[in-house]
Amino acid sequence: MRLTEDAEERVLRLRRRLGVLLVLERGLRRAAAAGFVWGAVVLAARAGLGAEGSWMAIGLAATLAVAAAAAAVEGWRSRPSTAAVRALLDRRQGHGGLLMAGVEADLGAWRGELRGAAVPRVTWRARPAAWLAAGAAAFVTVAFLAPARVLEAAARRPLDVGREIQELARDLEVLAEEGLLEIEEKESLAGELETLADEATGEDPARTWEGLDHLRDVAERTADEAAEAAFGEGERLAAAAEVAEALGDSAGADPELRAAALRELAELAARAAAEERLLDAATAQALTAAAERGDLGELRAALEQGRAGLADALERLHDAGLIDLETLLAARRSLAAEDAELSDFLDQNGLEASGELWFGRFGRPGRGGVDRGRGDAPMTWQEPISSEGASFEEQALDPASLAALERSSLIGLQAAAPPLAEGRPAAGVSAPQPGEAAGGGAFTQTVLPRHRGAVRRFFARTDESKTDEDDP
Amino acid sequence: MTSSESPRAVLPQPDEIAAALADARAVLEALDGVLLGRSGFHRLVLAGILSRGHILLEGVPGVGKTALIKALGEILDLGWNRVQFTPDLMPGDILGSHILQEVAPGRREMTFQPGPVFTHILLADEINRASPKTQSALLEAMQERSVTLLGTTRTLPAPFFVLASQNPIELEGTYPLPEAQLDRFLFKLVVEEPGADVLEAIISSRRRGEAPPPARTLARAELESLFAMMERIYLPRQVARYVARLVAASHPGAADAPAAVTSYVSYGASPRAAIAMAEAARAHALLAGRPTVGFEDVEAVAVPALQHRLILNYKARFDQVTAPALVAELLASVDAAELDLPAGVGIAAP
Repeated sequence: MRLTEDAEERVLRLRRRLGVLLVLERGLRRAAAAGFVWGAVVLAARAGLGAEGSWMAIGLAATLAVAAAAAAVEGWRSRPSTAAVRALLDRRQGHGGLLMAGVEADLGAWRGELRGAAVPRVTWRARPAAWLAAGAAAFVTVAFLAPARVLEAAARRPLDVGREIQELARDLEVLAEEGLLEIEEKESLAGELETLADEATGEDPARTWEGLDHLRDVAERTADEAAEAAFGEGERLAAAAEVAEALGDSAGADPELRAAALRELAELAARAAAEERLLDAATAQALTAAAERGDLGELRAALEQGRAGLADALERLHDAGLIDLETLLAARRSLAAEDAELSDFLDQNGLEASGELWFGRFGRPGRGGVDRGRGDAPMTWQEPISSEGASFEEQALDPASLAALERSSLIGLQAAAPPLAEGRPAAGVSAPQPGEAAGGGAFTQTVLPRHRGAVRRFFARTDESKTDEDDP
Repeated sequence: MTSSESPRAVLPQPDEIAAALADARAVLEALDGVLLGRSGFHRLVLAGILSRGHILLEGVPGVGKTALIKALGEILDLGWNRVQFTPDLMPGDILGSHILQEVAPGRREMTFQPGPVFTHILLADEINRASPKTQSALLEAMQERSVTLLGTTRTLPAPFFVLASQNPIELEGTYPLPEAQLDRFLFKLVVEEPGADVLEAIISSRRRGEAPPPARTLARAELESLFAMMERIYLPRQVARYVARLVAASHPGAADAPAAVTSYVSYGASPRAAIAMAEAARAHALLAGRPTVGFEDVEAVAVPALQHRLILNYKARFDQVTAPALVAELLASVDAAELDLPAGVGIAAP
C-alpha cells in the first residue's frame, strides 16, 4: 500500500472538487462569452437586416450548449494533476513531505501521521464571473426583446453636426435681428437647417455637409452684402454730416441754396432710412422723422445716430462670425472718418458748388472726371465689365508716341476711347520738331529747355573754333 | 508490490529519526550554551555542517563569529585550525609548502610541510582581508577536498569544513570574495548584533565575556551516524522540482523569473545552489524530526543558500534592493505545488 486509503482518498476528492469548480468557472465564462457573441449576432440581424424568427432563440440555445460542453471538457482537463494536489495537501496540512513521499517510498510507521486530516474546502471568488454572466444575460435579453424600431434607429450612424447646426441657427437669428433676413426667409432657412439636422446620418455625410455649407454661404453672403452696403452708406452719411455741418455754418448763404441743400439732405436721410437694412427701427424712424420735418439740427443728430447704429450692427455681425475682421475694420474706419476732402471743398467753395457736390458724392449722375463712363451714365457698384473677348482695332504708334507713352503715368482708366489731338501725336513736346520735315515719322530727340543754350552755342560757333572731333 | 516495480526507498523510521534528533539537539543545546540568544542561527549552522557544506559568516567584528566556530570545533570534537587572513598571506601559508630537509646525513630532499588546511575544520578568520589570489587557494580544497601542489594531490581529512568569517565589504581593507569561491560556500549567514537582553546575560554570566566550555561534545561515531541519517532523508520529487524551479527562476532571462529578479539580478544561482538547497533542506528536515523534506524546509534554507549566489546589478544597489529580499520575492512568486489554478479559485486556509 503506497499511501493510506484515507490520504489518497483526500487527494482524489480534492482533485474532483477542483475539477467541478473549474468546470463551473469555465462554464460561466464561456456562457457569458457565448451570450455576448450571440446577442451581438441577434442585434446585428434585427437592426441591420430586419430579421426576426425563432432561429435566434434556437441559435442561442445551441451556442450555450456548445459553450457549456466546451467548458466542461476544458475545465475537467485543466484539473491539477494528482501529484500537484498531493503537494498542495502536503503543504497545507503540514505533512512535511510525507504525503508526497508516500507514493514514492515506503512510509512504514510514518503512515499514521497522515491519518485524520480533512479535505480542505475549495474556494471560488465567483463575483466577477457572475457579473459577467449577468451582463451577458441582460445583453441577450435586450437583443431579443428590444423593439425593432428602436434597433433600427440605434443602427443609424448619427453624424455629429450639433455644433455646426447650433452656430448656423445663431447666425440666422443674428441676421434676422439685424433685419438682413425677412421673417419668411429666416423661417425657410431655419426649416432647411432643421431638416438637415434631422436627416444628418453617417451613411451620407456629404449631403449634410453640403447642405450646411450652402446655408453658411447664404448667411455669410447676406452679411457681406449688408456690410458692403453699410460701407457705402457710411461714406454717404459721413459726407452728409459734413454738408450738414457746412449748412449749419453758412447762415449768410443764399436761402434758396440752403433750402435746396436741406432738401437734398432730408432726401438722403429718408433714403438711408428706407434702404439701409442694418439700421435699427428707432434710428430709421429718427432719420425719417428728421427728413420729414427738414430740421437741420435734428437731421445732423439723426445722421450721427445712423452712423453709430451702422457701426454697432457691423460689430454684432462680426461677433457672430458673419463678417471678418478686415471688413469690420474697413467699415468702422469708413464710418468714423470725417470726409476731409469734402470738408476742404466746402470750405473753399461753399454751398454754391453744391450741385456738383450732390452729383459727385451722393450717387447722382453727372459727376464727370475720370470714371467708368460718360458723365451722365448711371454709376453702378457691380463687378467691372470684363474685357475678355472684346476686340480693338489695332493702331500702329509712331516712335515719338511710343516714347511719350513710356514717360506717361497712369492717372485713371475709362471705358471710352481716348481723345486724340488732331494732326499731331498726343505727346506734348516743346522742342523744335525736326522730324516734321521728314513727315513726322522719324525718331526725334527732344531737346529739353535747359539744354537749348548749349545747343545754340554749339551751332553758333565760327569755323575756326571747330575741331575734327566735332564733326559727326 | 509487483515484481516489475523498482525497489522502493524505505524511510528511516521514527525511532531512528528520534535518536539522530537527540544527537542534533545536543549539539544545538551545547552551542546555545556557548553563544547566547542565537538558537535559530545555530540551527542553520548545524544544518550546514550536516550537509557537509562550508559556511561563510558575515558580520562586523566582535559579534561572536570566531567564538562560534571555535565552539563548533570543540563540540564536534574535530581537529580545527585557525588562519587569520591578512593582506600579505600567501597561498603557501594555507596549503603548505615544500621545504628542503636533510633526511639522512648528507642527503637532502624537498619534503612537504602541510599547511593549516589539513584539518577537519578550517577557521578562515576575516577571509576577505586576504588578496583574491590567496582566497582562491582554497577553491580546490573546498570543492574536491584535496590539495594539489607540484603535481601531487593530497586528500584532506574527512569531514572537512571551511567555516569562514568575513567583515562587511564596506569596511576598510577588505577584498570581495571571488564569485567562484562564494559559490562554494553552502550558506552565507549574517551574524546580527545581539540584543540588549542577550548582552545583559553575557555580561552578568561571563567574566571578560569568556564562553564556558561546551556542555557536551559529540563523539565521532555520533557525528558519522548523523551523516548517515542525512543520507536517508527522503527528498520527494515534487520538492526537488520546487528547488529546481526556484533556482531556474533566479535567472533574469527565465520565463518564471519574477519582475524583481529580471530588474535587479545580473546572474542567477548556479546548479551548485540547487544541490546545496536540497542538501540543506534535508538537514533542516532532520533537525525538524522528519524523514522527508517538505516545501517548508526548502523555504527555510532558501535565503542562506541563495543570497550570496545572486549577483545583483547596479540598479539593485541604487534602489537598495538586497539579495534576501529578492529570494523572498522568488519564494512568493514560485508556486510550490504547481496547481496553476485560474484567478479566484483557491483552497481555503486550514
